[in-house]
Amino acid sequence: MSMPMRLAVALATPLKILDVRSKVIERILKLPLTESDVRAVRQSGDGVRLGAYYHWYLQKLFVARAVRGLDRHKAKALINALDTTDYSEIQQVKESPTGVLIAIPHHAQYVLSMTSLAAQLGRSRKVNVFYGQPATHKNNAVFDRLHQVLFDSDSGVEVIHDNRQGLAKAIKGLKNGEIVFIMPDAFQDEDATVIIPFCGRLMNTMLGTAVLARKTGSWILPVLSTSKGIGLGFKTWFGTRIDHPSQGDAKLTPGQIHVADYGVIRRMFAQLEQRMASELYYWQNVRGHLSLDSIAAELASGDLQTLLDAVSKSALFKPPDLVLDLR
Amino acid sequence: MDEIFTPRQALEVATEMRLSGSRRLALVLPTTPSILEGKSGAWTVVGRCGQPDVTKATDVLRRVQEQDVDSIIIRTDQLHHPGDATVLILLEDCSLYLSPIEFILNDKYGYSLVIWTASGLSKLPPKSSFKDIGFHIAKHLQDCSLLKAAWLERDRQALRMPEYRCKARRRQLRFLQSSVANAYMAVPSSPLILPLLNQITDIEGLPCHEIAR
Repeated sequence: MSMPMRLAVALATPLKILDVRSKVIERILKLPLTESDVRAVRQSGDGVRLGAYYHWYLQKLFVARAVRGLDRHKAKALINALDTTDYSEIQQVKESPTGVLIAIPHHAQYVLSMTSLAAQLGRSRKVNVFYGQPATHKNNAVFDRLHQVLFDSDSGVEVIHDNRQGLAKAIKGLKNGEIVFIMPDAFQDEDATVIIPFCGRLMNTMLGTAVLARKTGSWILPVLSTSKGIGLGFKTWFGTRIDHPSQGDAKLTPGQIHVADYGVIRRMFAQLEQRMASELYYWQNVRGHLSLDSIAAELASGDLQTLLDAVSKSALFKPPDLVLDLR
Repeated sequence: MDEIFTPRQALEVATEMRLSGSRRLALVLPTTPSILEGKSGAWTVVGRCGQPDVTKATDVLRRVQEQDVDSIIIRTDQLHHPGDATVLILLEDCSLYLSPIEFILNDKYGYSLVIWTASGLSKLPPKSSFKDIGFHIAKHLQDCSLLKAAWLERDRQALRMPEYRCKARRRQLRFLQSSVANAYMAVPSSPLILPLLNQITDIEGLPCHEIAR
């Protein structure tokens, strides 16, 4: 199954030089783009052509289809054939006396990178893969399916969903020195996020990865799936270990702890940004991130006190001049 | 509704009223291509600033106090920003912010309001009740959507909604909190953080008119 698929993707490579919109291709790929989407894709790297995005989407489709139909043996063979990762870099994770958070965004073949890395680490450490449950994140059904196929009870790999029980399990596991995979570019409630500069725009993100590291004495390893070769190949990239600076610092106030958590998240995304910026079209959130609605790129700087004074007096924060009840 | 009374027809009727001697008229019209292309002639036009021949609402009110401004067109559909739309009306099915200029011109300066609706012009004499004015302006905005793509301000009307403004406030607060965190992330033990975060908490405590239903 894998060879015809890889051959099809390789044969479709000339698609990458296309730089005009094709409604036919979009219909085949079930990828209805808006003008804002097209603009976003073209801004997602140096000289990115629309065809490269179509080609990438074709790969995603193939992988999603393949995952649905394969048994354990074939799925493992497929992943092994596509994976060109150097796993010697994860020795530090295997040997860590504390818990480790593997922070991997929705980039390139992240599903395959996560499963392959989890399989590697699961041989020596208990691994928990933490993500949104398919009931609320429909696209995550592919994870559940893949994990059911690949990982039995002896694999050392377990799926936990981002609900209250899952979170408790993640904290307990990290405290016991286990590994937790987390996807830092996902969130459920925008109001619970912070805003960071990322790849030329501002982005909403949760502090969860930093909070988990601080509360459990774990460290964070930024990890990124990258696309390799011309036919579905992938290589997992490993960043540099991040330790939370405020673990166990009882002198900090809640506000200062929030700032410390924020700093950890900024460091984590700074590492990811260095790798992602030139190939942002592989990122699942690229269209929303670079859409016309999100043009701001910087947070406020300089005299914050004056800014806060001005905001508190701005029209948005004033009560109405008059309220008329016409009900 | 079989046939819509067009904004262009509304302008013609109101111009006739003005030419036949009616004084102090404030005509409320939607923003459509036919209205933008047509000549406004002797009318003073109030709307979003930055457009040709359009005057800010506050400037018009100043001129009304100083001299006789006889006839005014109000593009109320352009006055949706928090600084422009400050009168909150609560309706059965929704709540929205309206510009105060119609209320002020009618109540304080004796202007008759002539308001476009899809079925014809609504006329309100000077010193009408605020509830009447609010009702007819809300009806005007509701009928604007019957103009479909010809209503050029359609996509901006969400800014009138209290829910939208509360969401914008929350985003603004997150932006401020994040800006503080960004500025001090290298020194999280700084004593300067607390007063700034406290001030944000104070701003957060300002009342937000999100209508409970």
